[in-house]
Amino acid sequence: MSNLLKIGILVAFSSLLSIGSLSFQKTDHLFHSKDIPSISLQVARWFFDQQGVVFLDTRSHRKYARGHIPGAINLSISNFEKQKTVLSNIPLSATIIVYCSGTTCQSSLKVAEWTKDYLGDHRNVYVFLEGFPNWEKAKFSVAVEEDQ
Amino acid sequence: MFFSLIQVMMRLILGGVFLWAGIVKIPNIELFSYTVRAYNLLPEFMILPVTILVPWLECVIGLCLIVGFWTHASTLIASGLLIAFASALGTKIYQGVNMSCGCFGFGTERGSLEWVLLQDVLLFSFALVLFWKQKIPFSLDGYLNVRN
Repeated sequence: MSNLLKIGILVAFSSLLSIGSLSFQKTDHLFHSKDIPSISLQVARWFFDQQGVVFLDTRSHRKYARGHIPGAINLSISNFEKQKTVLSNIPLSATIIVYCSGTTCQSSLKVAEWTKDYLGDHRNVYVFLEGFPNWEKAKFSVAVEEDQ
Repeated sequence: MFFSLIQVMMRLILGGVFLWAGIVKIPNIELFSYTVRAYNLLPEFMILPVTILVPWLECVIGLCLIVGFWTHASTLIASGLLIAFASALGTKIYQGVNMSCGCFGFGTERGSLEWVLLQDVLLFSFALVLFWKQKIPFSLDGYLNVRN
């Protein structure tokens, strides 16, 4: 049997295993039905440790001041129009992750959409749906605004 | 005899590295998809197939290399994957990006990509040696050839 045929068989076998594995794996995050993909807590944590990642906190300034993901920019949904120019300072290559108070709030989705509209569709924008409460619950580092 | 042992060692190291790389990725497919995205080199439609197929392919060829089954074909696939990975690493090094390579699991370390590239080249040299040797000592291929 030629090497080419063997390679074909090995790749086909791996493909079958891959397709089979999809049935017992959590793949919701892999298939994005919306324009803005969402990421899990684990992925958000991974992004947090990378360079060139900017977190956008869409909660109110009061909640942001009490605690937020270190380095996050506060851009609440109500102040978006007034403060959206801060987005222009984010480097072109940066990945933007938008979060709010968890799955019950929709402001992160909305702000993520507006951010894409404002900066352009080519920008990497994700929504961290589990939001700040789960981040805090996982005991990941939290920053507090000093003058509070 | 000495060279045969070296060859076996190379095969086991190459196979072990691939098997391990695949095993750690399979339960973390979602994270792997973001690692692939973070490299920013593939078009969006290719991310999902690559994310799903590569870990299983790594496992399959890792196992084949360890037991010495279809060694030449497995070595060719391994070489292809190593070249692809080296190109991705090279591009990121050229762009001056400091990120975690995501090769084995998803530690939060931002190690040196140059060091990872060096390891990649070393593994590729193992693959080349294994490919050019017609006889594969202490392998299933060798056993099956003797039987036939």
